[in-house]
Amino acid sequence: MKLSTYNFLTSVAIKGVKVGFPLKLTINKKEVVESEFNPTFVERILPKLDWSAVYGAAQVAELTEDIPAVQPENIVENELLLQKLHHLLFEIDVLEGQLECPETGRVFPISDGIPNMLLNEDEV
Amino acid sequence: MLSAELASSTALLNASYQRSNGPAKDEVCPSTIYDKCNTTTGAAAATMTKQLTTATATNAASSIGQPGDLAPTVISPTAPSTLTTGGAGGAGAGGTISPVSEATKTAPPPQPVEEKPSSSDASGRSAALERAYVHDVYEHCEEPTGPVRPRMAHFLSGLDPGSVVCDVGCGSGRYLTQCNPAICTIGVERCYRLSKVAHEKGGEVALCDNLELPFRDDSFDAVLSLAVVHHFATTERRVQALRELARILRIGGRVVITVWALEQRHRRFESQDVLIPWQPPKNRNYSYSDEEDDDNFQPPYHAYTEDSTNSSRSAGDGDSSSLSSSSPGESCYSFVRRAIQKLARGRRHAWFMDSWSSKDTKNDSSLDYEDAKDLPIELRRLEDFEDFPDPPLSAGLKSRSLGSILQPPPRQIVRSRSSVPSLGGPLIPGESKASAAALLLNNPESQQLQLQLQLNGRHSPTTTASAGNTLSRRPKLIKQKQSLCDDDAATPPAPESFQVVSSLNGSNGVVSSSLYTKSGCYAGNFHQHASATATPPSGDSGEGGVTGGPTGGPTFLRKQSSLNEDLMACNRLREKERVRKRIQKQTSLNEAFLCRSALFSKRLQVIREGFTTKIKSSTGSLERVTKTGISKLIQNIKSGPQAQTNPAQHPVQLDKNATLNNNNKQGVAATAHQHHHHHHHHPVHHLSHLILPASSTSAPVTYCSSVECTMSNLCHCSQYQQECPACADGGQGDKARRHSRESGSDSSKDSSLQSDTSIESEDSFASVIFIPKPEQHQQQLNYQQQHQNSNSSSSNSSSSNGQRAQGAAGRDQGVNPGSRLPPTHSVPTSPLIMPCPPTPAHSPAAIQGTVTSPPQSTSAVSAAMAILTPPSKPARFSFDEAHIKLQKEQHVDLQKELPKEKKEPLKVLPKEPLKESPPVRRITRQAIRDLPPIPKFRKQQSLQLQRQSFPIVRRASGSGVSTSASTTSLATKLLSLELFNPATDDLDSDSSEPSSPDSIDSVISAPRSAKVPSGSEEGEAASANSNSASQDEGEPSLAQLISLQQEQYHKGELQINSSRSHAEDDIILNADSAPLLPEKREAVQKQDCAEFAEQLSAQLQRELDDKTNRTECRYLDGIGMGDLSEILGGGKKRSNGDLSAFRDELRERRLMLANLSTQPSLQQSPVSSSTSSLSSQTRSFTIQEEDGEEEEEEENESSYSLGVYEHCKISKFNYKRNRHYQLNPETAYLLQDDGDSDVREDEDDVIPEEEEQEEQDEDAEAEALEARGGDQLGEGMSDYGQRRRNMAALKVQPPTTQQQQQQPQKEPNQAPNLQQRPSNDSLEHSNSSTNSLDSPSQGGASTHHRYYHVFREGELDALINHHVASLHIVSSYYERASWCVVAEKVQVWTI
Repeated sequence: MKLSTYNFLTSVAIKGVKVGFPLKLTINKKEVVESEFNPTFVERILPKLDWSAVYGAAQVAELTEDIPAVQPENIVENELLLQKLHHLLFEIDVLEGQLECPETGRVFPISDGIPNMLLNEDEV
Repeated sequence: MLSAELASSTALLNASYQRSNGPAKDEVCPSTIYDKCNTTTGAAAATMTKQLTTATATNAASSIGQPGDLAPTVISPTAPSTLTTGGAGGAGAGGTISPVSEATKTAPPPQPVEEKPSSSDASGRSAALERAYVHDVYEHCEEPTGPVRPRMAHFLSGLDPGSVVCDVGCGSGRYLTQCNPAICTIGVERCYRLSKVAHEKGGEVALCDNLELPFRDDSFDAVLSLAVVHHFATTERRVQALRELARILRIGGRVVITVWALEQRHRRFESQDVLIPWQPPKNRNYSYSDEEDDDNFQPPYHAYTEDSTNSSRSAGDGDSSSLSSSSPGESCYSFVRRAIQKLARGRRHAWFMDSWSSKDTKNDSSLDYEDAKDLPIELRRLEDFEDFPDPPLSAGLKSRSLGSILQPPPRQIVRSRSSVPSLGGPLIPGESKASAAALLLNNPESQQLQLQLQLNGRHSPTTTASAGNTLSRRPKLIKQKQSLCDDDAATPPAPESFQVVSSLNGSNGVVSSSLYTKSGCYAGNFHQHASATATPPSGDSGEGGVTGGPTGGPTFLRKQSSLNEDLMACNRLREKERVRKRIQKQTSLNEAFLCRSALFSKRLQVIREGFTTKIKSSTGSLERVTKTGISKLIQNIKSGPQAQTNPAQHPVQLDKNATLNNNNKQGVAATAHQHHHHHHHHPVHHLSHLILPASSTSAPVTYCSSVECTMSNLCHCSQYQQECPACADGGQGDKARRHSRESGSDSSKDSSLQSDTSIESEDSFASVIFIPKPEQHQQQLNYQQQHQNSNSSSSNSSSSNGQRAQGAAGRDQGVNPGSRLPPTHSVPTSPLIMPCPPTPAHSPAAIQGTVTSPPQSTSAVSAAMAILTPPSKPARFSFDEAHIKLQKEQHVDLQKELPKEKKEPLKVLPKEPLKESPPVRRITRQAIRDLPPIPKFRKQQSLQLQRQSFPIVRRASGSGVSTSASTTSLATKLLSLELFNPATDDLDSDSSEPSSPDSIDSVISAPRSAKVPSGSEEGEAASANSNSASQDEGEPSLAQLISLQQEQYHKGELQINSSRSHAEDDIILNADSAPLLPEKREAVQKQDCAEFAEQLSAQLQRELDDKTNRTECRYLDGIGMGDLSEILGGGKKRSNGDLSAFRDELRERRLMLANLSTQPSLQQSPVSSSTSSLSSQTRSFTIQEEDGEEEEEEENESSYSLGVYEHCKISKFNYKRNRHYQLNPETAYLLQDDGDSDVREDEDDVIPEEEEQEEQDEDAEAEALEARGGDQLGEGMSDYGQRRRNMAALKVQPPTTQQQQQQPQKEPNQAPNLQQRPSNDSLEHSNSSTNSLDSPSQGGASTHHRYYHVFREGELDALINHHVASLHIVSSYYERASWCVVAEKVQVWTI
């Protein structure tokens, strides 16, 4: 699972959950996969992401120094920051870990890079 | 597999029923509405949210501009309640707050009652159905990846850079990475296996369900749902899926949804809810070939829709490929294909016209495109047409969709039944009447089975497929069987064996049917069931066919019976019985093997007896006349039972022929396996045949004189009785021999053998000259027999075939009665030995031989003796040939031949000196025999003893005649005749070295030398004396034999006898010590004589209290004296020449030590027996430590020693006694050590005897044991008699008795070893046959089905418009068997 996907995942489907976002991420094993950097792509996808979740992911991935806590206004001009965001969102792949619901504590395991978000029938 | 799935689905259904409240609530609880109603409670929130939803729906409808009618075409149970609240909301169309609150108050009471039961039931069952027929199937079934659809590629490439796309149901991820690198695509997959494949390709995948998407609202620019929605089992679930797609889509984003269409060109569904069959992956190659031409490329939910189409086509390809391997299958399938093609064309036009009239302009262009691709693969689509009756039946049984249109099950059953006659119909014209009858029997039963399976809840597609396989495979079996029967009928049978050939045809049908039916049984499980149910009716007709075979029924009936027997052979129990019979036959062959080995030794003994009787001559013409009459009476009695036994054997061999032919065709592997086993039988057969002509040499001599004639006739009579059970036990071997003659069908051999027989019948003396010729013929026969016996041992025929085999064997024996003549070429002995009935040509020769035998004169006897010398040499040569052919493994047989070869030169020697003697000297010889006893008796005993000696001789001869009359005593008579063998040995040894008058030890023989003038006459007198001694010894031994036979060689009794005799030795020493003679040597001799006499008297008193026996013992005293003097004289001369034979010395040393150990005990002061035994044991222990190596050698020698061997050793030992007499006293204790080793061996032998007794479960084995028991008694008695004579010289009792016990027990060691080998072979063969039976069945894989709800035209549009307010349909079209909808999310405003 890439951290860009993490930005979209919630546990709102669980019965009784209202928001369920962002999920608490725990990384046990990860790898870095290089991909081509496209500044336009990163620029256009940022408005669709939640910056607080992005910073939270940076904390878990131990890249806090690169990402500021508050989203800057003129991020387009800072190409260095765009490269760091690209690395964080699209080059880090979580192979083993878990996602935890902030409201109910339900844990979703991540195995072989695939998060298992299936729910039991009594949880829906 | 299917039953397990049904059980698991049922369990899941029950479990999910209890938990089905969740989905109902989710349908009406979008999260967006929660945000607006934060202040309300749970129950109130639910009601208020429903009210708001209704208002939203109403506004959406008004915004779209549709009419006010709110009733949709398809209504779910939950819809009426919603409409009710909607109506209330609509009534208060002002939109004010107060009307909403009023509606809330009235709504709560009716809602829980109406919604929960019906919705929960439907959702629970549908969830279980989807888990069984969608999730599990995609998880376990592999499919190839299909190509990317151009329309979808165009859609994705048109998105803006940086767009985020969600592919719900991405499968293996075709659209995740290939289409547009400028977008970010996240895949959603329900199947873990497919998600892993997609992730390996580099795609970003999450494992989740479409009904609960774990994404934030309004987060994706585009959403794909390709072949997903049609996998949900209820309308509610399908609507929920569509709503989830709309939730995650941002405003202005577009969603693409594709589902399977009901209106397909090459496939038509009677119901909208279907289970599409999926084939196993072995047909994967066919699907690749169809990939480009496939008209359905969309990926279904969790997997690919077009792959299911490919799999169904590959099923058709698989069927055609399997059927095309045989010509009848191909012809049948082509007929079916044409019929289906016609039907498909008609219906396809109807479909096309209906769909054409209702399409938009866009759809028209796509349809034209599909037509171009569909045309090239028309035939393959016809194969798919075979699946047409399958889905509706299974759907009717399984699907419970509320919105679907169901067909009643009875109609579907009728439809599936109609398909079977259409498949079976074309088979009937192409087959013969017999095969058609067989098919007609099976078709109704298979249909009944289909009905039963349907009632039991199984799926009709499996039944239909297996029924088709059954019908298609049957023509192969039937035609092949017919061809085999025709080949057999085409061969021109000989008129004599017409009945045999007819029975063979019937039996071949059985064998071929059994072979093919086995393969048919394991072709499929259903086929096995069908054949099992069909077995009872065909079994009766099959049995009739089998019994009709020997009666010579018409050919048509035989073929029909063979066809009907296909199903009989499926039963495994019969095969188990066959294995048992195979084992029994091999055991019977083992018994024949053992019996022949017994006969082998007997015939050698008969040869010796013949030579011994030849040399003797009778005294007195009165005895001659009396014995001649008795011999004639005996011959008449024996001829009677022969005639009775022959008809019983007559019907046995003809069926043997049939059985063997079956075995040749069926048991190729078994033949190769048993061929090795037959090597054990072959050398024994060969040797037994070689010995038969040798035994015939003694026959002409039996008629030289009346006395000899009587003795020899008794000999053959006793031999005949022992051969009768042997022939019965070995009957199978003889029958196989007969069959080899007939199967070879060599008429030239038969004519040559008959010519030999005619020559032999003309002249009895000429038969001796032709001895070598029949041996050559028998060798050839043995080779043929070797091949055939292996087939007979591996027979797999049933019990009915076995009965017919017996009849055939009888005929075979009747046709060739002369085949037994070559083994027995002597004319006079043939009536006594042959079990066959005498032929007209043979009986006059026998009578002529009998008549001519009495008047033969002395010159005739000498002429016969001259003729006998040449054939002895070729007999020796034949033994060498047999020796070369023996295998290395058979050491026992090698040991048996060695002593036989040594005997042959001994036989030749005595004839030469007899030739030189003139008739005048014979008269002198007779006079000399009368003289020696008189001086002995005058010197040593009084006149009273002399008078008593004459009546003893007469009584002995009288008792001999009386015992010959009874049948039980014939065995004892044969045993007594065997005692003459040591006489032969003594004769040979004495004649070579006559005693010299100068010897000092020959004090007793001095009076005889005074009467004889010349030296040569003195030597002849010595040989004559030895002959008289042997003759006299034979008669009293009869009494001893009778008494000892009663003992039956019990070990305990013999030990008691040995201990008693040892005690009496001490007593004798005390009694005889006083009257010692002045000369030392004479004193020693007298002591020996006295001891010997008292030992005999003591033993006889224990067994028989008769006074006459005492007189016989005293009579033997004189004979003992003479023998001792001769032995002492001969020993001195021979001692120098035997130094070179080292091995012989070792063996003789044992016996020598026995003598030395006894004499010191005699010389010692009288001591009790217990004290002497203790002292001997202590000495033996000390010797064991010193001479361990010698013990090992002696044990090896003892293992190879045989009864015949010891005769040679004992005779040589007599002449070395003086030399070894001076050995050191320390070496004397070795004998006691040997005695201990003998005891150990006895203990070891007890165990195999117990094993042997366990194997005596059958009567045949018991008879075999009786024959072997006779041999043991014979050899044991002969050895015992030999030792009793040596007691006078050696005075050895305890060690010799132990050795005697050891010999009878050695033979049982050999017997179980021989029996165990073939039994192991039979077990291996049975194991191999079991493996073939357990071979896995083919085509047993289960069929998977996937659930689809095929959408009618406009159905998907209606669901979106009525149930998903936020989606606005942009376009809707039909593309490759699926409906496609592109919708855009719009903002909904509440006014």
